[in-house]
Amino acid sequence: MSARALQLLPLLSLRHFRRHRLRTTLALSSVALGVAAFLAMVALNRGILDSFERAARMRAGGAELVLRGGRGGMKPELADELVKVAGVRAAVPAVVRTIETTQPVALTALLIGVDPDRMPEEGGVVARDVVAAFASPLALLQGGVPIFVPERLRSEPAFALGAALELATPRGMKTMRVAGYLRDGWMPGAFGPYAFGARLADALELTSLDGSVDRIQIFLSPGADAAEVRADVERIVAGRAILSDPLELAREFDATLGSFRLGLRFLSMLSLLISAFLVHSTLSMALAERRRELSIARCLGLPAAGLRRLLVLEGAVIGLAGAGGGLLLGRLLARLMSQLFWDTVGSTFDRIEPVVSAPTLGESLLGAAAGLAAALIAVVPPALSVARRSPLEGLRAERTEVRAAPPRLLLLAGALLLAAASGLLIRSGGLGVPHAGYFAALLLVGAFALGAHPLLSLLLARTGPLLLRLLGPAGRLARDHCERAVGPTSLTVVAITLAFGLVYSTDVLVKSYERMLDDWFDETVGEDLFVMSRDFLSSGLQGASFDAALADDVQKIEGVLHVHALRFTRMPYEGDRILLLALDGAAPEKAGRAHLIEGVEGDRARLGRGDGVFVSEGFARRFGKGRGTALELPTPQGRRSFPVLAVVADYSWPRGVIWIDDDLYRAVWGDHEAQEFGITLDGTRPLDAVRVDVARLFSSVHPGIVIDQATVRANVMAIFHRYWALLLAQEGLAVTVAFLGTLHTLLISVLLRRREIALLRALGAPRRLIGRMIRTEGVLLGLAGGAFGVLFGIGTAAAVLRLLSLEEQGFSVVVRPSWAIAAATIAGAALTGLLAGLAPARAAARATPRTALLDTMA
Amino acid sequence: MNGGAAPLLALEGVTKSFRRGDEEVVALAGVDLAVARGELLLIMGPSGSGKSTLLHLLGGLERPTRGRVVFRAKADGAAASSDGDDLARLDDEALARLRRTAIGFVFQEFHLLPTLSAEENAMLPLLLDGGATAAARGRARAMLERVGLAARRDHLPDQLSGGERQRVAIARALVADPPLLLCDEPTGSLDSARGREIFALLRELADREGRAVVVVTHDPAALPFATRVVNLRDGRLEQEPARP
Repeated sequence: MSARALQLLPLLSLRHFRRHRLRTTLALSSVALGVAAFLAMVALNRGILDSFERAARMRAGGAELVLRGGRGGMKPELADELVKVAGVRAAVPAVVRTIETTQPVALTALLIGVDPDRMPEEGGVVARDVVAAFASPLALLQGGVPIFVPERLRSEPAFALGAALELATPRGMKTMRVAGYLRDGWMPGAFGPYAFGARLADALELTSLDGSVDRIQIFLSPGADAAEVRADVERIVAGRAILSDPLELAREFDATLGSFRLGLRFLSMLSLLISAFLVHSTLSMALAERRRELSIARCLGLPAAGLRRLLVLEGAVIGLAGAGGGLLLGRLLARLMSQLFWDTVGSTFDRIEPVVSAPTLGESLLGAAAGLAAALIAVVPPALSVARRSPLEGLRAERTEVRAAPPRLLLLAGALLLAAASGLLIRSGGLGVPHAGYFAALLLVGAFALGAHPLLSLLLARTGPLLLRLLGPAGRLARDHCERAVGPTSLTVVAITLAFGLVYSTDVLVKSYERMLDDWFDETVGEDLFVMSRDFLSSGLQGASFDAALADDVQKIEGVLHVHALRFTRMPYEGDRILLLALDGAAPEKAGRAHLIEGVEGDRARLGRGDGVFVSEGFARRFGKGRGTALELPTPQGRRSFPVLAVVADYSWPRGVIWIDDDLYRAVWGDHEAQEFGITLDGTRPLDAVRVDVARLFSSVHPGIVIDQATVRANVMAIFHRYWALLLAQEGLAVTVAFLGTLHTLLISVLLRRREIALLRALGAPRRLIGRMIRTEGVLLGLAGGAFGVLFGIGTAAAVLRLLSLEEQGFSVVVRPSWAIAAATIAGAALTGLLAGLAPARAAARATPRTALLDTMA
Repeated sequence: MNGGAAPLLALEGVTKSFRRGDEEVVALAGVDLAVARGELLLIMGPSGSGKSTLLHLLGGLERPTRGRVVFRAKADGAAASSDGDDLARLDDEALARLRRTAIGFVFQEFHLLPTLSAEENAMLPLLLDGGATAAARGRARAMLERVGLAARRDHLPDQLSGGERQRVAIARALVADPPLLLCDEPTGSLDSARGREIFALLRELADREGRAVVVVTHDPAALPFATRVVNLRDGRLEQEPARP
């Protein structure tokens, strides 16, 4: 950057910025908001991964390797074999299971069962010296299973030393007794606020019917070759469990939210794009206003190259200053978004304490670079255009913002080409392009960026008489100006399009997924009542277990046709986490149907016989396991192959579901627990009467909640809507940026039309007509942006539902736009334009004929 | 004209036409004109005769459609070779350099930058040339004093009268000590008394400082101050003999 440009910057540029503070502030705000949104998303994404990695490391308890066997588990004796492997310092069997206390307090907690004697000197889920205090033997003689609670609960009466807690377990109601306190530290971070400890045998008594552990932590000796140890352990395990390191665990957590995080990244890029459009519009119009000044400088001897350098330097200053504001705002936004995420999406899957951290230095530099890049990309085209003009052009031409119109047919052709390319990608399932959904969406952005100008011209053409009839002279004048200045205003329309397109596409996404879930519920869920633990749904289908044999007792209740004892096990599978669902494959159709994607009716009977498994559509597509193939799972006897009998629709777990008959499951894994009972009635008794009997049955053995299908559906939908809450925050940001941009465009437009407005006043136009003219312009910009936004929103939603969903989750979703919401979106955009036009309208109405007509200054 | 010495600036067979829609408009047709140092040349003519176009060609702000515009001074004001430079062939960078160092422009509407003070407006050409700010400021102050505005140097243009703004514009035009001064209707926005003052100043610049001053005007009050007058009508030049 030349020294001359730096020397001229304070005189020719900064002076102008200082003089027009509001406009400068608006331009800086556009950059700041875009950078803040970008930075917040980058920090949030990193924070999510950091949280997962931290949780994974802590859950591994310092172990270098972890053996996992799902809820079916492994026998603890396997650890005795593993500790003999060369390089293994310790092999510690452990359980981490959800429990539900009933008295004196009702809460859901995690119980960690491990034998400290097996722990190495350092590390471990429960270290040898972690117990801060023990109860007296006398207290323990009162009976109950001894447990250890976090030290910070010491002051609560329910957790006093020796206090008794009633617990619902698969073996019925049991008493736990507080035997001591665990030092606070990392435990809450890994396992949530309520994490209790117990000896392994005690924990197994409270949480398991068959004495299986769900993990064995393997600690390596110093200097041991991890790869060799791993190979030896896998040879011994022989497919009975999955061996992972903590990072692999973290990646599994991450995979669960992979598509969501990709979506966040896309949204942050979109926010930056919206900012770039607005900065471009702002700078273009500011340059139009300064054309005389810049022409004077050219006449006085500033060469074209020098002017270009100066304008690019201006853009860089705006970019850096805006980015500076964005960094500060981004830190705040990162914290808010993180909190929102963990309160909504994050709580759905696992108990993970969030890492809520501010953006790092590297991320901040990235954000600043993004803001600078956005401003430079925005400033270069107008800078080149201005510098290309002859020195006299700015002095000679009238001071309006009209520019030479680019060839409209070419733009329209380009826009249609990009839109067609996007449509082709969407309709053809992505053509094998990775992340094709994002490309399709970006092509749509390009299409609207190019097409806004000609489309706006087309929309405005021939609407003069209509607007004159509907809105009077103000409407006609507003429309005429929009048509004359269609170049610069189309950029603002693009920004409004992207912002409201985001709003509408989110609605289409939500409604489409909702409808899919609704249809799936209607088609497949036949049960009338459900029994589950309190946090079963909100914990992502985990929660405390029951004895599956309780289903036989429920079956005996009058009015009950059938009872499913459902077992949900999250299992590692090819670097991901899938759900293994054990259910009664031979259940009558009324108790639930399978929506077959691939398969025939006879396959249900084969499932019931235990001939194989069903897989969800998502699982089949993501892992290439369609009907007729086979999949392998780790079992206590080693890896076992299961034929895939059919592919079904099942959206209960985003990474894929495997259905297995419960008899086969219990025979293979020896796991006789269930997390949910699905009860189908025969219609001979009212639902509420049966509900009372069921509740009475469970109250004495294992209190759970008994709810009907409608309530389950409502709860599932509530969780689903929480999942999308984060996107609403992003929408709000985008709409704010669009509002600021519209406000700025109208302000600049009023300034550039001082003489024209003064002439209208001189000819007798009242102030209110001038004000109405400007407000109508805002409404017209909003209406155009809203209408284009609906189209953009449908296209983007289609890209997500048909491509991204297919790629990430293995199934595509039917696009279901709501036309009522489309109308509301357009109305919302028009309202935004109206509100943005209020201040400029007041400014325009203040103009006096004399002041503006004279306007002989420089 | 200086007897025998090559003129500082010469138009040779210059034609300038513009495209307006489908129509080609000829603003100047085959104009030959020479401007010497030390003279105040008046170019007069009715509206639309091409006066401003002629001035812009002289200053390198426009390129001729045909012909040559020969300037016999270097960018630093030193004399060029006898052949001079054809402005039509110079690139944008070279023309810009000439404009900020060898040619001073005074516009009808002053064209001062509204956010800069009188002093800052006056020193702008030197800053555009990459000069040190302190030196530029000193030179600007000297020029403002030269035109009688030293006391108003910190005022913004909207705080100055029309005549004062025009003087600032003249100071700006002189700050780089150019051999050529081009003035487009310099008194168009002034009353007759201020107008005469401006013309007197311009004549002084030509007589005492040996600059070539070209003034485009339709103000008859300029006639007594002119060394030579040419009339432009429909893009063609009609020359009148020099006035004493």
